Amino acid sequence: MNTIVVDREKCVGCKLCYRACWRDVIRWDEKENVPRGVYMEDCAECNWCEIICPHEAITVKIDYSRPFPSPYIPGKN
Amino acid sequence: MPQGLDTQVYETDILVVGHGIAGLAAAISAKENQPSLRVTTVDKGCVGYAGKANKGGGHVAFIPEGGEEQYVEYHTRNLGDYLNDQDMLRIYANSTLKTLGRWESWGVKFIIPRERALNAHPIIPWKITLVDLDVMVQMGRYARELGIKSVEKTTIIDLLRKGDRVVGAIGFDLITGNTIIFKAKAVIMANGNQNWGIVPMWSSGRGDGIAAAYRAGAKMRNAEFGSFIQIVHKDSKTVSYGAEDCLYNAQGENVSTRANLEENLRTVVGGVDLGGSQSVLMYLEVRDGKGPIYEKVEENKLPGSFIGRNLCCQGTADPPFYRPWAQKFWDRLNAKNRAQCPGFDVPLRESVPAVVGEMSPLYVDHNMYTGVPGLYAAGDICANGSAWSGAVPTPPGRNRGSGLMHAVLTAIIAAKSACEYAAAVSWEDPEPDQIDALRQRMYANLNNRGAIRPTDMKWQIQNIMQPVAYTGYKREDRLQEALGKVLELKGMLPDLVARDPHELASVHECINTVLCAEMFFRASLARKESRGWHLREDYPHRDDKNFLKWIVIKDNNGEMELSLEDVPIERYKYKPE
Ligand SMILES: Cc1cc2nc3c(=O)[nH]c(=O)nc-3n(C[C@H](O)[C@H](O)[C@H](O)COP(=O)(O)OP(=O)(O)OC[C@H]3O[C@@H](n4cnc5c(N)ncnc54)[C@H](O)[C@@H]3O)c2cc1C
Repeated sequence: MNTIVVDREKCVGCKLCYRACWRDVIRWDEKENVPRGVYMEDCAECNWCEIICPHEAITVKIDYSRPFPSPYIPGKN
Repeated sequence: MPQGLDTQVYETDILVVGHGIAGLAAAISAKENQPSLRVTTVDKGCVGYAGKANKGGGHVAFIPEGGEEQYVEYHTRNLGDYLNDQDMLRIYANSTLKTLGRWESWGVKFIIPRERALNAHPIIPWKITLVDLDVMVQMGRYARELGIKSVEKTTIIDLLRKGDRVVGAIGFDLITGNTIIFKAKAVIMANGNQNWGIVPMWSSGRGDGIAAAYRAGAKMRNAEFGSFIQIVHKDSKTVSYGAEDCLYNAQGENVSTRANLEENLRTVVGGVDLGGSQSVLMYLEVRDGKGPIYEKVEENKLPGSFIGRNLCCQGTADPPFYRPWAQKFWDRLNAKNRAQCPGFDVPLRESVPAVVGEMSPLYVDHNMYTGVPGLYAAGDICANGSAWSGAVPTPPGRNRGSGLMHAVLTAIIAAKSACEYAAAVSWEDPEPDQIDALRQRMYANLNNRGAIRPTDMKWQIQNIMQPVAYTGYKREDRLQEALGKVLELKGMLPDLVARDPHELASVHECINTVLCAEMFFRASLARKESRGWHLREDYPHRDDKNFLKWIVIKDNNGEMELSLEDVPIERYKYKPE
């Protein structure tokens, strides 16, 4: 599964990453005032959270080993 | 209804479900048409970022003045395969310039001036200009200035009715789970089409709107064309632009040059789509034991080429075409793939066809009216249902850049129709019994005794929708097999369990995706011919005698009812030769 890493030193709590996350993967932790990657199974790795962040405080680590369904013949290859 | 949840009720004259590009364009147009009307949008995502328009593309197609009829003829003969509504296609062709003008007036910046737009096709007058990926932010700002209200992080599950008329919608807040009820005079569905989740960048539409409209009595058309396919690298699962020209099988044979397809299919494919037909070719190679299929990287001339850099950001765009957000988007994705994806830097990269979907069958007329009083549609949700493009998954309908243009154009039309309707009707409240029943249905899977997680169900659906043998290259026995699997999943839906509102939204996406898959396979079985994108191994030719018809689907007391509607070809200008 993809993971999200937040650099708390750099994060200013502007919530832009949360707003940009159209799959509702990122939730806002109001207590700590930081984003959390809660529903990572739905991450579309569009990287919008990264490119919108004015401080490069958030990173999506893509899991390239995630499975892909049988491309051609059901249950094969 | 689970304990501890509240209900919030909104009243608005026009409710727009979805604030992707079609939704925002519809809301803006409605408010501009009738500033006194209250216009509200609702979406799972936030204004400025929701939807597909900012996911990497940004190509906007238009037809230059004087080229409209040539475009209609070319499209009908080569892409629509005579299954398009030629009147609707003509409306599209005649409106693209006007649409650009109105769109621009909302503060949207086009990167290339119209007069210097790129030619997108060697034969027909079809031009491309560009928007940057902050297009939705620009439109969101304008919508807010106009006084449009937007409700975010909310999923709409069903439409509310009074008699036959749609008078609102019901859903829930993704964060709190609270019930959200909208009362409205007219509703515009702009919440996207069905993508099966296999290529997640396309997954803003998961069939929720299609299913809600279907349950409210709306018809569907052209559901069998929901298998838009891209070629992706198997390792990164990212689209491999240009790979279709340099594919090799495991025996080292160049399969791209093999004239795409078997002789008997070539006549029916007729240049409809490279990616789609190529996927069938790849399937045939693998079926015959010659797979896997590779992209020979050094032969792919697209990255770095004029088109590659300037339209697809594969390389740095030249100054006149430079789009800061699009460049950032692609540079970031490409850099990650290069640095982290195992096997990125090899001369032969395994490539596979990935079924995106783009099933968009909500039936609408030329006014974007669904036939259910009070219910209109715009954008991807009805792109096949309006039949403008015919026998191809749409958008992009094999017209690069038509997705955005179609979304904005149909939004402008839908807004006009909805405004006229809203001005003419009086308020009606939804029936309270219906609200109770829908609320029960909505929360049925929340913390129930079920054992199936939505992620597991999604994986099972993807394993039915992805194999090219089922969805790309069809045959009676395989379609029956696939439909059987879908019906099996349908029986398992009550066992889906959600632990929180986000998962509950995923459960509903599963329910709606299974419904769409059933439509897709039933319609595919009914069309016993090959036409456009719909390729049948057992019926390899186009059959104009029996199938110059639209397959229409409607709910009949819980059963899916299919019927055939004649394409009025005798009235149309272009007829099969
Ligand atoms: C990667 C990619 C590249 C593309 N490139 C181009 C291109 O270059 N040119 C082009 O013309 N087209 C392109 N397209 C297609 C184009 O982006 C779409 O046709 C267009 O954006 C569709 O707009 P829409 O508003 O109809 O649908 P969407 O953008 O899908 O918006 C639907 C909205 O509805 C919301 N929604 C869904 N279900 C619910 C629910 N139950 N309740 C509330 N809200 C809901 C979604 O969150 C979403 O915001 C591309 C698409 C993708 C994915």
